[in-house]
Amino acid sequence: MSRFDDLFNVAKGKDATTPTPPDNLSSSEKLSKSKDPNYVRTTIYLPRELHRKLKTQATMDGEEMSEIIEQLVDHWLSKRSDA
Amino acid sequence: MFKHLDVQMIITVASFKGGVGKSTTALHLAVYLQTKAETLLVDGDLNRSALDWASRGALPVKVVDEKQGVKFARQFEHIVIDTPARPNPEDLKTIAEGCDLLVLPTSPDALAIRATLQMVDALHSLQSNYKILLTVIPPKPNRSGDEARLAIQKAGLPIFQGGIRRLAVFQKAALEGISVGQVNDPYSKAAWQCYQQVGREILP
Repeated sequence: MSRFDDLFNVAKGKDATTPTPPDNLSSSEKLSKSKDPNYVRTTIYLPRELHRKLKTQATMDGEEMSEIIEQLVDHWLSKRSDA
Repeated sequence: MFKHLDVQMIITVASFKGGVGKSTTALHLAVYLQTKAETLLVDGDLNRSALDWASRGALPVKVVDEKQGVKFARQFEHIVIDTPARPNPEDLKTIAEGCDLLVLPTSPDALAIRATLQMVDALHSLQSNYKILLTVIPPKPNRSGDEARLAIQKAGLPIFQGGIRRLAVFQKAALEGISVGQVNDPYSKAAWQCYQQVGREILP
C-alpha cells in the first residue's frame, strides 16, 4: 500500500473503463490499449457499488473491465441493428 | 450517447537522487500545462519543496499535498506529481504504473546518472512510460551535458530533446516563490524556454 494509491485511484476514477491492468505473461507482447491507436479512452459514470462489483468480478475472472464493457456495448449495438 | 472527454494527463516526476531539479521540474511542467488546461501540482515529496515554493509567492498553478490531491484531482485536466527522492518500491510501483508519463530528471554527473540507471532498472519490471530529462546542465565550454546525453542515447534509453540549463535564476525563482519566467532577471526567459521546449515535447 502506497500513500499515492488513493490519489491515482481518484485520478483514474475519472475513467470508468480503467486502463489495462498488467498483462498476463502470454499477452506480454500485445500492444497495451493505452498505446494502441485503434482504441480510445473514454469516461463513463457508474454507481459506486456497480463499479465495485464489476471490478471485483473482473479481477476474480482475470478479465479486463475494458474487455467486458466492450463486449456488452458490442452486444447491445448488434441487438439494436437486428431489431 | 457515449461522450468522449479529453484525456486527463498525469505526469509524475521522480528520481533516486536529490538535487537534480526534481521539484523545479515538476513545478515548471505544471506551469507549462496550465497554459493548456487547468493543472494541479501535487507535492508528494515529504520535503514539501513545491508547497514551500508556492507558499512564498504567487504561482499560476494550484499546489496541494497528496492527501488534498485526492479531493481535488477530478477537478483538473492535468496533474503533475512531485514524488519523494528515493521512492520505496510500493510508491514506485504506484507512481510508475499510475501515470501517463514518468519524467526522470538527471544532472549530467556520474552519481546522478548512476541513480537514474538504477531507477530505470527498477522500472524494468513495471509497466511504465518514462523519459529522462537532463537538468542542471553546465554552460559551455563544459561538455558534460552533451556527453551525458550521448551516453543515455547509446544505452537506448528515452530522453527529452530539450534539456534544462544550470542557471542561477532557478534558485531566485524558488526563493521568491514564483516560476522562473516571472523572475525579473536577464536569464529568466532562457530558463523558461528550457521548460517550454520540454513541455511541447509532452503536449504540443
